[in-house]
Amino acid sequence: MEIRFEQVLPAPLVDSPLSDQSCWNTSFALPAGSYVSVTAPSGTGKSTLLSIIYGLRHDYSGTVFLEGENIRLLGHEKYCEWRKNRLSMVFQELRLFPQLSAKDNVMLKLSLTNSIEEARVDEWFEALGLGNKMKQSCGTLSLGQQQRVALIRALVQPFSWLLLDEPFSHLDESNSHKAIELIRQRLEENKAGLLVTGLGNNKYFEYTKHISV
Amino acid sequence: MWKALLFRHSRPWQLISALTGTGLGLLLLLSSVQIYLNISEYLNGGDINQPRYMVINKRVNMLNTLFGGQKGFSSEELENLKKIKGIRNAAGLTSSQFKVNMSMEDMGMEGIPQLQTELFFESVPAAFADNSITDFHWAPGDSIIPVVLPRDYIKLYNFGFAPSQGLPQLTESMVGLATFRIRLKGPKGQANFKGKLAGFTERVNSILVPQTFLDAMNSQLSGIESGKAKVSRVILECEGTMTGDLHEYFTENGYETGEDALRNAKLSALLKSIMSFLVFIGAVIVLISLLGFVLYAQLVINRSTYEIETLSRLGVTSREMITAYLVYYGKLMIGLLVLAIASTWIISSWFAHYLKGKGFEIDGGISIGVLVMSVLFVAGYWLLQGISIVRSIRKIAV
Repeated sequence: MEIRFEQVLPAPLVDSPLSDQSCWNTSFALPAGSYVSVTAPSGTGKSTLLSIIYGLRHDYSGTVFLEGENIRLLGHEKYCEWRKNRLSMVFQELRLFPQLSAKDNVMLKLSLTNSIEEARVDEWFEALGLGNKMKQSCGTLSLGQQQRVALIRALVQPFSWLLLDEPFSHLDESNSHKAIELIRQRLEENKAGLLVTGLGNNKYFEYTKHISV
Repeated sequence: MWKALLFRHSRPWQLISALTGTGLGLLLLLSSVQIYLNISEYLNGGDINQPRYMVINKRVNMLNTLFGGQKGFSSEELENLKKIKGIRNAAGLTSSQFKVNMSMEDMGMEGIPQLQTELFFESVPAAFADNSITDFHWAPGDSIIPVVLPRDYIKLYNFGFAPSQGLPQLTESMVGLATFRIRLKGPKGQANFKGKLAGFTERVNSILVPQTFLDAMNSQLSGIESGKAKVSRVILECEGTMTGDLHEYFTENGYETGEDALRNAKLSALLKSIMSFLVFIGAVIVLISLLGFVLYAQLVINRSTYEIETLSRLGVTSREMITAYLVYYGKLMIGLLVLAIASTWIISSWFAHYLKGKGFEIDGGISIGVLVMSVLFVAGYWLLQGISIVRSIRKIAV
């Protein structure tokens, strides 16, 4: 699934000066399976970039193509289908259901696709150090723990692109490494591409492309 | 699994009060419509669409008596009557313009008296004749004339005349077996016929013979062409749901009618307006409580904005969420409706039972009309709820 941007400029950025390297208002393509790091100072639209791809924002000029289709014309139903099978995203604000348990938050997503065994979910909880938190309601977990639950939720579905919006902002070094291990594994299983923001020029993944916004 | 999230912000007591309001409004509406139908049916003697009949005449005053001259209805007055709302048709009664003498034929039965009397005939156009009476036809050349009597006459005979004269009481069917000799005498000649009782009627308080016979005899014995005879009484075919307004019109124009008929009309008009008022109140309450219910659903959706947004991000389509809401509220509404229908059935049956104790035979139970109305009601509600839910979810789920 190729992602292609053509002269895309978010409405809020119309009047602000763009840096020379900015990807806004230019045209570029992200081939299927590529690992892309999005870097930028805050407030220049890193999250906007992911939100546009995920179909959450439509306030931009220009055109975005997913697998050759103009996403403006995709329609809600098709987008929802893709969000279950093609696109997966960890939101910056996590978007967990605080009253549900950590495990239920993940199982809810799994119930929409049924693409992996429940046992694997348990394994992942263990791997990320959440084995004893599965039954605890999400609202009572620390931010770092919630971030890992959100990550597991994003990984239980099949996807062609994994969109991570500042995924490790609340994780310490060791937890980040455990998470990266799991992400790598799922990326390979799905032969998927990665679009990640907020990691700077880290060496966690073998990026094929850097985008600056 | 995700469906439960959509209803996480329902508040049980709010739901219960919304349901109670809607349920009570619905019950009031259904039961008042049901009782309205039952009462109308009773007042109209069966079918609500069955017409009622009424005979009117002009008031006789002293001048008529002193200076002669009979008051009659002009054709213009007849036309005006037909135009009044509530009156479907009007026609003059034709009266005999010759003398009639009727005597009982000897049937060879001991104890049956040989009676004879002077009387008169009237006739109504075929459209107004009582359908329940068969064989009420006469064609030129027939020697037997079918005669229809007011049902009151046989009561007068059985309970007034017969006891005072020591005569046996008669049933309707016995009277029907008797034949009469009828002698007609007018300025232009006389004629003899046999008469046979064709039946009894409550429609017209008169002795009726077929219109064809009366027209023929008026012309033959008195030289009066059909349609030219003076119309002294008019029969009206009124709507089943006749109102009391007629009374005013009659008074203004100096018409008289059996007061009973009018009093009944006024009473039923009063009853019906009370019931319509109840139906109206019920409808208003239902409408308000329905809106309340729709607003409640709206409130739940608005409270669940985060859930709806997030579910949509996880891949649950707005269509799936709309369906979940509609199925849920639809089930509630259908449950409510079943309860309301059952209660209406109980109330209407209880009401019928109660009135029976007071001497009124009205039907209980539920009519098809009320069931149809209920279904329409649910459909209407669903549409309203659907529009509201679709709009708000589409706005939230992107």
